[in-house]
Amino acid sequence: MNERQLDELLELKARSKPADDGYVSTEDFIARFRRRRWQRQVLWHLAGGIAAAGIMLLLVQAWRYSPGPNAGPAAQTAQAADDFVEVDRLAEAERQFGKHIGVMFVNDNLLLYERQENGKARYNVSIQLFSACGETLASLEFASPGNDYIVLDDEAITGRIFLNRCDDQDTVVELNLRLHDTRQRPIAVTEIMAIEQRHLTQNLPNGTRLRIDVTRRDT
Amino acid sequence: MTPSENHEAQFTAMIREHLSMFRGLARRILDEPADVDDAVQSALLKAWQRRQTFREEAKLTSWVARIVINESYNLRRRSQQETQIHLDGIAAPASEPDQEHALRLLDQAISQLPELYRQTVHIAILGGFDTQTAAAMLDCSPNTLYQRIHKAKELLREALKNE
Repeated sequence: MNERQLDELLELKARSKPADDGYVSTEDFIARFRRRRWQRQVLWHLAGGIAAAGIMLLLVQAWRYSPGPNAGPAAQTAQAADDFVEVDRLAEAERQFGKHIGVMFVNDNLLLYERQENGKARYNVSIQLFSACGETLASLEFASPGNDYIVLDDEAITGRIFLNRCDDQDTVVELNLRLHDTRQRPIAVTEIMAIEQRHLTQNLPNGTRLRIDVTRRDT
Repeated sequence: MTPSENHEAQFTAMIREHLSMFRGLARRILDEPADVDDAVQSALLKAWQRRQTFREEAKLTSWVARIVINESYNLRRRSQQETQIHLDGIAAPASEPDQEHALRLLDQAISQLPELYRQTVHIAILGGFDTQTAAAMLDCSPNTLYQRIHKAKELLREALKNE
């Protein structure tokens, strides 16, 4: 093939521009890009989170079983380690996933969601559902800036949580949730409540009991 | 506006302004619009991760354009490997019009060029950009661009010499 023939072929290739049809709209493309970016970010953080959780677990185990000068109160040490993990897991998960990703523990399982409110989380919110005989049916734990609107769409839980702080003591909580209890039975919670003094226990019409705690964080 | 929101706004504006160009570059390499969008999305994800290293929007756009070409070839290679697995043992079509055959051979020759010359062909020869724009997109001077075009054509002629 000589130079002229190649130029003609390249010219032909340049002219045979495919039709610009069959594409999604620019806005749909951008929305899809944001979703993929978010998913990738979550996976990335999840990998980091798992690694950090593994290291933390190893450290706690090492601490728990190491022979200390007072071998007697080993049980107390073990309890302290449990408390440490329990109290810190929300803050640790938040640190790992960043401020734009919401973290929640649903029946002690970590769940990530897209935050609608990006303010600094100043409160820990705990929602627990108990059976008539006091058995824990379900628990939710998350951090919130105070006023919050959370949309959940996951296999474990779907629905909305709306928090509106009236003042430093009172919060209005609106729940519209569908989830599974610790025995994988479906539960629906649809309630609007005003919480005074940062906690509330309320009997629901189906005989279950709902407890909500809104605890201000130290920092 | 926080720095993060600022990056987001700039990046979205860049997509809105140049999506058509990115798609056009990928469309010369890939047949299906869905594959084209996949390649552009992959390039944009890489660009997002490195957004803070590009201070000028033009540099970021040029970089994305080059990555779009690479991602399109990667996707095409994967797709061809999968197709090859399915088509092994099936005879090729008996006849193909000369022009289509020649274009197919040209495509193949371009895909086998070194990355630098492949990008030169797609941006400076097939892309329809003027010399200044193409040189800026390839991050080189117009003189260097002419040399690269010359070299790319030489390599293509060499690859197609028996056709």
